Amino acid sequence: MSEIVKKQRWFWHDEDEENWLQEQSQNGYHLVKPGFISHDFEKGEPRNYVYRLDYLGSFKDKEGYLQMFADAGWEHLGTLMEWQYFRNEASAGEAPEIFTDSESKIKKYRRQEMAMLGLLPIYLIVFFDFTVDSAIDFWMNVLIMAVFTIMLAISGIFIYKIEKHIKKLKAL
Amino acid sequence: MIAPKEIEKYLPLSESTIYIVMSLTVPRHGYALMQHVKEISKGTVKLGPGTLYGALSTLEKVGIIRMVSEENRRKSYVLTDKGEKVLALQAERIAVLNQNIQIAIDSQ
Repeated sequence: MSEIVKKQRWFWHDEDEENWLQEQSQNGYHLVKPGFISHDFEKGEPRNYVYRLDYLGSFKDKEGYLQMFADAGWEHLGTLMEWQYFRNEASAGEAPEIFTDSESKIKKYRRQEMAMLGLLPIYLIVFFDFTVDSAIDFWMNVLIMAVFTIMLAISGIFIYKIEKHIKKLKAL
Repeated sequence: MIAPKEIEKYLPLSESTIYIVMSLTVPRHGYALMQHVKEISKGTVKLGPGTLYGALSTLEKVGIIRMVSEENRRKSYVLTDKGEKVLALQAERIAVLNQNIQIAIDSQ
């Protein structure tokens, strides 16, 4: 039986996570299943795996999409909040890529942004709905407001960082 | 008849898109297309599956290509009449561009 190890680290940027997963594989820990609380890794021999993440927005033909990745040699490891985790083995001096131009990379980040902005009205509705509801306890109110403010702030930082990255891609 | 304006708005296509469009003068599915483009471009243009999937969806949406069959989850596409006109006009632009590059090099 192979040993399953749980590890998780949080990243602002998907490319940092890709690099981290690659490092784990070089140390013999290979991702088998991505998870929200922790990823499952299998302990084995070190391998030169390359990991790539794609973000899917609303989507109809996921089977066709996954088939195209499989045909191109990419193993689909799992889905985490619409993030698709793919793996391929790097051959001599050549790192395989799922996106081969900056235009399609920018589109991926736009899909991520759209999903975040899509949540904004839900935040606002819940936020105002609770805060005007005088029936609930004062401290409960404060807690809810604090949680939503933090969530909004995190989304804001994400979008700021994505925009900065898109700018860099556009300059290429 | 398709008005020239309707065609011109898609031009110029990116290098990857030109390769995709020209490869669909015969029906091909995604992976066959990737292999074909890699081969005819002598390895200068590689299409990752993420890039290709997005490009095919966009080209289908604007009516430059259409799906002809689906087998084992692999969709095959071919150029439409509109797509052929886009390709022809793109080829003309490249011919002019090439001429001008040649003139510029020769006049050195």
